[in-house]
Amino acid sequence: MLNNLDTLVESVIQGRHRDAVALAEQLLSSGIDVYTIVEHGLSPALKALDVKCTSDEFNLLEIMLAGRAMLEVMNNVIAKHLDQDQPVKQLDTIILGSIKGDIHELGKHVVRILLSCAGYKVIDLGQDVEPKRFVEAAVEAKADYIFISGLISVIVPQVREVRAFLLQQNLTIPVVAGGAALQQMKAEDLNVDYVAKNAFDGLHYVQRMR
Amino acid sequence: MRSLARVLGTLNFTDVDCAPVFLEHSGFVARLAGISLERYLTEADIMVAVKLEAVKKFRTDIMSLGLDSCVEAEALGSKVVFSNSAYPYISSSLITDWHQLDRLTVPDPWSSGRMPLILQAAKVIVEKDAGEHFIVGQVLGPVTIASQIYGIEKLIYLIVDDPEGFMELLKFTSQVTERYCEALGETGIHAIMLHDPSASPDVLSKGVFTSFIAPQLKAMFERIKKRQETYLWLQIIGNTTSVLHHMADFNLEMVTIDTAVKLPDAFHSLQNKVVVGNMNPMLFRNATFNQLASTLRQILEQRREFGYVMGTGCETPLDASEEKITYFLELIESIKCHG
Repeated sequence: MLNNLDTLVESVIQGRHRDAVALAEQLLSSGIDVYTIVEHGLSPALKALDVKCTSDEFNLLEIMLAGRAMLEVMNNVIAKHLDQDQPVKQLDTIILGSIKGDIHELGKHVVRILLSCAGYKVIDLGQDVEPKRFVEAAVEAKADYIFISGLISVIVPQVREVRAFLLQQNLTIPVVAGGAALQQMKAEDLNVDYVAKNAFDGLHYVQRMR
Repeated sequence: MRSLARVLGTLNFTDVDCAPVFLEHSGFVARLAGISLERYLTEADIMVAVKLEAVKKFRTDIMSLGLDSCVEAEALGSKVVFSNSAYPYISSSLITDWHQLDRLTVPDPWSSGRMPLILQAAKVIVEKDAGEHFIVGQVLGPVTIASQIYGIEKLIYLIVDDPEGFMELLKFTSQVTERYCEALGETGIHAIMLHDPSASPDVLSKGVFTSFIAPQLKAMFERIKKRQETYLWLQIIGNTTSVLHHMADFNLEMVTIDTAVKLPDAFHSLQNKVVVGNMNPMLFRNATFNQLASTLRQILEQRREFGYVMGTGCETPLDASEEKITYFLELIESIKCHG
């Protein structure tokens, strides 16, 4: 069993999504429960990517391929069997988007994949999103966090507006900002709760808050 | 020494009075002049005025003619969305399957999208500049054009799921790059900078660059060289240290390196190329004056005597500080010949 779980970890890290799905199904057929698969087959893969993200060997291709493999295991194998097992812990809902004035989405894609892989429900609003829309979406979805992605610095005034719109509605949903331009600034400058240095840092923040 | 002579001397690895300086800051200069980005990116006369003003104001040696990363995809039929606060973007993928490539034709640069605007501007600038500066046209590389028409996320999956499809896509987009290079060459500019950020090992990995991209780029540069005499310049952003040896093998004269690449590493690997870089343009927004001075000192300590252009690894941020850029350039001037 342990060997098969290790093989699943390797398949996910290497981005072999079809192998990962097949292995996860085999593990289930052999009597391993979905929680063990997540804890020992997927979580270690996510940790390995976390380490890679801060090393010189980082590249988006490997992160995205591994993310796809992990998501396919989650969606095509794990999700199907959850109802038959004990109820799962409800993970938080996160509103994510590139704010008005910014059309860069690649970094946001990586954040979406990582948060989804870690079990969070991510509602991706896309690019060029009005500050007010983040708040509206958070209210509609009863979201726990708002994640703002920004590659360019001209969007800073729009980032600051999100908290203001939240306060207008007496909401205290934590706001996290990240991306090439925003990660160089302080939370107080952006009027947000946290500035993530990279995608994993954003993930660690919500994990710490649980 | 005139700027043009200084750059040509650098290209010949001969003695020049000081290393040429190149900053990529077209959109920034337009904003500084109060011109909306959309106007700057869509009107040839505005573009010409901005470019000429930029070299006059900052007294840099090289003038680059490029608009944004949508020009080639737009010429192929992609819809471009403009904004006044940022460079434009492609709203959706032009093709969703590489087999749909047969729907596309390599655009004629003289009649497709905004390519004619740049070609027209290039001709006017060459004439008005009258041999003062080294003038460079910018063209997107094949990987970035592919990512623009196919979507970067899908392109990443295509590389591993269907490498043959990825190569077909690259073959087609290489033709787009080559055709545009040819047209730019006809305007009388001195060099063509092939800008291919999506090809970066930071994005697609060293393995993909080595197996797929490097052979394609190498063959493409050979073809371009056979057809035209313009100098060729490659710019790939991010940490390209691991693939510099491939670039050394390409038939081109200049390579830009980004901040993540150490100058000594670049000089070691690119002994036969002019190296441009590796200053971080974000410093023009975030750094203090002392930090700028310290950065310059570090560059001067590391630079080599021949075959080096002092410059940024990528474009100046739109909200950079004019004061900081001016200070940096004046500092260079004050220690003329970078003593």
